[in-house]
Amino acid sequence: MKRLFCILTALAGLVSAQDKPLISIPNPSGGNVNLELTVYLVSGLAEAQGAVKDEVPQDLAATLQQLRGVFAYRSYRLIDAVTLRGRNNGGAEVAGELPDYSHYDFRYVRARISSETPHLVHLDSLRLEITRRHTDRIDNVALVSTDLDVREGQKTVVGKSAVNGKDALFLVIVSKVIE
Amino acid sequence: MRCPVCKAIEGQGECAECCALAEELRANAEALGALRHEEVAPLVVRISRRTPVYSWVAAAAVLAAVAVPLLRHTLRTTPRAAPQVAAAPKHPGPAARSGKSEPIKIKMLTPDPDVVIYWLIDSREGE
Repeated sequence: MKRLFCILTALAGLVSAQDKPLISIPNPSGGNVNLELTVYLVSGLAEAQGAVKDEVPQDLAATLQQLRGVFAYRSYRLIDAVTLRGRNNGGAEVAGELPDYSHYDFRYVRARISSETPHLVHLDSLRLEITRRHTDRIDNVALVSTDLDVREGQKTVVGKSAVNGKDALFLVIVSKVIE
Repeated sequence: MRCPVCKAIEGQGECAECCALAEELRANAEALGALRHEEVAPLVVRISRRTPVYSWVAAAAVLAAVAVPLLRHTLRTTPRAAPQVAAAPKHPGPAARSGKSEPIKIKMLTPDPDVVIYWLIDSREGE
C-alpha cells in the first residue's frame, strides 16, 4: 500500500509539473521575452574558385579560424545573413531568395529560453531548406533539420556536407535575448 | 471382590485387560495433569495481511483519476507536425529520399569557448 501511495504521489507531482510553464524568466515588465537570432549562411568550398580568399564579415573571423582548424575546405564564403525575431515559447520563420536565385526557408517551431545566465536557447525543430526552382520542378539544394541548443553570446555552427557536390553549408547562429 | 467395571473377579480373566486399560487411562490422566503446569513458549500467530479486494479497487480508481488527466494533458501538449507549405517536388530530392531518418549530430568543441560546431551527418551518408 505504501508503494502504491508513492506511485500516486509521483504521478501527482508529474501532473503538477506538466501544468507549469516550461520556461519562466522573471521579467519585471511582465511582457514576453523576445529572442533575436542572426543566422549567417556560409558555404564551405572544396574547390578553389578564383582567388583562394575567404569572403566573410569580420564578425565571423574567430568562427572561421575554428572552422579552418576542423575542416579542410579551401575557402569560405558568406551566402547571406538573415535576422529573425520571435517570442519565448514561440516560433519564427523567414524566407527569401539567395544571390544565386535559389530560395531559402529558415524556421523553428519553438524557442525555449532558460532562466540561467547566460541564457540557453533551446530551438525545437530548427529547419533550413534551400531549393532551386525550375519551370517544371523544384530541386532541393540543402536541408538542415535538427533541434539545437544555443547559448547566448556563443556562435553556434551547424554544418552539413554534400551541398552542391563536395561543398558544405554552415549555419552560424548567434542568439540574443531581449527582456 | 468384583471389578466395578467388568463385574468379573478383580484382576482375573477378563478383568486383567480391564485393569490394564484402567491403568493406562490413569497414566494418561496423570500425564495430562502434569502438562497443566508446563510453561509453553508463546505462540506466534501469523495473520495473513492480504489487502481486501475493495482496497485494490479503490486504489485502481484513484490511479485512473490521476492517470487519465495526465494522458489527456500529454496528448494536448504534443506539438503538431508543422504543415507543409511547399509543394512536393515531382522528383524527390535528397531530403525526400532520406525519409524521416534523423541525422547524426556530432558536437565539436573548439579551443574558442564562444564557438561550438555541430556537424550533421545523414544516416545515408554514414552507410
